[in-house]
Amino acid sequence: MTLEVRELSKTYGNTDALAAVSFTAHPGQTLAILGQNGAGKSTLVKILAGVLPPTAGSVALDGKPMTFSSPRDALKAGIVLIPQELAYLRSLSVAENILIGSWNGQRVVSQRRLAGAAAEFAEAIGLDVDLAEPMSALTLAQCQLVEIAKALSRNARVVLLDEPTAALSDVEAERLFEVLERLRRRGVITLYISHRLDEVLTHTDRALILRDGRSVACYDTADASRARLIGDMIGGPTAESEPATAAAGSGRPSTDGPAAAIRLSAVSHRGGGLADVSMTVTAGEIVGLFGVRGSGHEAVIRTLAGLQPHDAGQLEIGGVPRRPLRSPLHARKAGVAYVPGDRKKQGLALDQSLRQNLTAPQLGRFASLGKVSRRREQEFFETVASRLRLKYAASTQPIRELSGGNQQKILLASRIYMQTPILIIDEPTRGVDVGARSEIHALLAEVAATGTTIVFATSDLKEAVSLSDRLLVFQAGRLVDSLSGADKTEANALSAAGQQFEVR
Amino acid sequence: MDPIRNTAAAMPAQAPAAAPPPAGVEPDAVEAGAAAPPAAQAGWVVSRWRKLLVQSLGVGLCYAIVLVFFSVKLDNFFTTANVETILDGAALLGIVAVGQTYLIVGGGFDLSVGGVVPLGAVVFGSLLSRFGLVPAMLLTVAVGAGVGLVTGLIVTYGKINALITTLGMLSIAGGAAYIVANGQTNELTSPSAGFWGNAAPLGLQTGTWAFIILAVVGGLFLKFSVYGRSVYTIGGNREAAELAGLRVNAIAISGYVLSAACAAFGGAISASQLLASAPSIGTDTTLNSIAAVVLGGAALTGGVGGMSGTILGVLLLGTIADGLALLQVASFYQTVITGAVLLVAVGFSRARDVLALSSFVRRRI
Repeated sequence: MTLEVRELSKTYGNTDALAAVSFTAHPGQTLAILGQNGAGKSTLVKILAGVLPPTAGSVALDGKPMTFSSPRDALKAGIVLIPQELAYLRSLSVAENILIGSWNGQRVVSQRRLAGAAAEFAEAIGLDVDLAEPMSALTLAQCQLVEIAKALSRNARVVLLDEPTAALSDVEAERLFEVLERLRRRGVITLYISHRLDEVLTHTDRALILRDGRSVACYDTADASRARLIGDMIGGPTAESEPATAAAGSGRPSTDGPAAAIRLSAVSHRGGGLADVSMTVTAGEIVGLFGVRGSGHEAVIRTLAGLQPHDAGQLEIGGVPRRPLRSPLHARKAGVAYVPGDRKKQGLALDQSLRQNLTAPQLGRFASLGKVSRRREQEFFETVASRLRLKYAASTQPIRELSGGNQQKILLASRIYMQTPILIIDEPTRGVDVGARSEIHALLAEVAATGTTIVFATSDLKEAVSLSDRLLVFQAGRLVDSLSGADKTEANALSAAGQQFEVR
Repeated sequence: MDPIRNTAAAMPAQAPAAAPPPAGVEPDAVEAGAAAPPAAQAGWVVSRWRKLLVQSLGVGLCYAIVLVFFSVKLDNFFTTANVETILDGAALLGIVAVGQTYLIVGGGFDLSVGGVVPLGAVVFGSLLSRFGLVPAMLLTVAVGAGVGLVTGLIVTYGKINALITTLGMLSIAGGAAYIVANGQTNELTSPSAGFWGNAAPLGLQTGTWAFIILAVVGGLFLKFSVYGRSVYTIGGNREAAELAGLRVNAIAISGYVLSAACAAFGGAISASQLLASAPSIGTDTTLNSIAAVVLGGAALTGGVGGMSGTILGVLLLGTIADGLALLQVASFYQTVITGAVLLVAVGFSRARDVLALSSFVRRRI
């Protein structure tokens, strides 16, 4: 089973989303597809999965040319796309989700026989859950594994993964790679989009790098380095800007008599999500929170954002003792703005305009006598757009049409410009390409330099280390370590978080 | 104070060469052009007009067909007197639909209006002789607002599904109307009783002018006020609005208050126009008001729609009712035809979406 892609193109008007991309993948190979947002990665996998028709070019499986009229055809040929946003049936059992559509050839669906049949595929990838459980009981990572089991049940020979690890913790990602290794041993070809370059270097065989719809390079990852990958993606000399950002952050002059912007004293949640956490954040500091999923850093974010009021302990904001924050509105009044982690579900109204999404949290600012001034909104939008180097067609286009990086910039700007003294950010750059990511990091460093306090949580170790001035590491609901200066390394953060695997 | 803003303000020259879009654009305006470079602005403006045209196609096409049909069938259709009749007849539904628009744009809906309208009518009828016109109107609207407040509190803080809650309130308010009226139709004999049915400028009734003014003010408020724009935000993504620190609950409750107050107001106007209050007035406004808003292009999922569309929807339903009455079609056929028109108009707009999409795709490939 060899996948051959020849001169594949996709044109929209006079822009080439994909221009004559060719590559070959052999059985058992794992191929990473890399590139900045808008480079054509998603277009490529969508064409292969039959979601989009190509403008020109051909795809052959084992020398047999493929036609692309629908995802159904692609499935029949053994090509399965596992999209970034999984679509599954929440209320049905895991077994039913694995065997959906085929029902294992049964006419009358017996749950027990179904679970028996699904077990084969679950075992094949080491998915260890009760197959009779409803999907809604699973974690996101487990749902992904179910998708892969489903792909196996359909006899998949090519699996396309669109940013599978974007929403996973490092431990969960590691687990996913084990599963991909099993697929490889079965001779399955894996095509894999990711923004996490370290992952790519460790876990894939080859990297195909796209830029502006063209394939600029394709080489074995064994010969590659992080710098080379980034260089090819950006198309310039390899100046990785992330460490520079951190340097800019720490090189800031410290204000005399640093005021405590946030102080937690022995804060706990009754459920045990947070136990006796005490921490102080000074004004203008960027503090990162890191840990394995569920170890307490998310709970700190929720406490400060007003999503989960604490049950015990003291919270001070700007030196003033506060009652537990009961809602985002309450938090906002206390001077806290919150950037949620899931921008599509919790951050943006996807069908509304860029301008509306930017100004929605603080419309009053553009109003006189209760009337919102479109002109002032537009001026503000243009200022922000040029400041953030936003790529867009019109301020009134729906935000759905922008790339993830540009959406994230607007979401962040909608909170930054509220000018609250404190900014709480869950996942500053999830699913954002390298270029936009370093721009966002630079922006946040600049915001902090004006005296705004930033507290963020991230599942991305590299970001945790490079963006923060100080990194607080959590384990089992407790704050276990505070890393800064030379101690703030990925290795230290990982060992403090209690992760078992080797540093990559 | 904030250097970021200052640096940004200091370099306006770097702003993209984006022409400001024409004023009066809906905040939810949908634009077909995918992320094209700012240079594509001219083409974008053209496609905006095309889009606008395409958007009003469903209800517009239906309206055109209906007008042509009636004007062929009826000699006296396009007369001043008949146009006045249509407008006067649409006043009640129009007033209710104004409130309903706020709720639907905000991602909710209110089934209880079909109970609150008759409640408003009979409350107005019973208060009129004792308190006089103005206090009776004010009290009626207050009763409506009170019903809406209860609905809103139950939905937001009681966390009972809006469908169930407003369905329950429909039954409660509708039943209360029968209790207040003792199940009877009461003639309004007070000298000021017919105020809303009196002739006003342009041959329209006072109540019709109340609808027109309410629709214009309500439309402008929805589109331009901070409150109205927040309604769109909440309709677009409620969770995001809440996490951004908007007063989501307060705005949702106020929507129900507004809707029920409008319904009670409409009931009072209707009783005044009829010179009688009965617990059967306006029981059909629940479905008709939602139909009018949806005909006007609003999505039941929220965040999309506007007052001008609603008014077009109200007029379409009013025109159909009027034309069928002139053709002496029995009123129960009217309900069937109204339902069919709703499905056809919404079907048109679905077809339009599909067409727009496929022509978009064709143009792009």
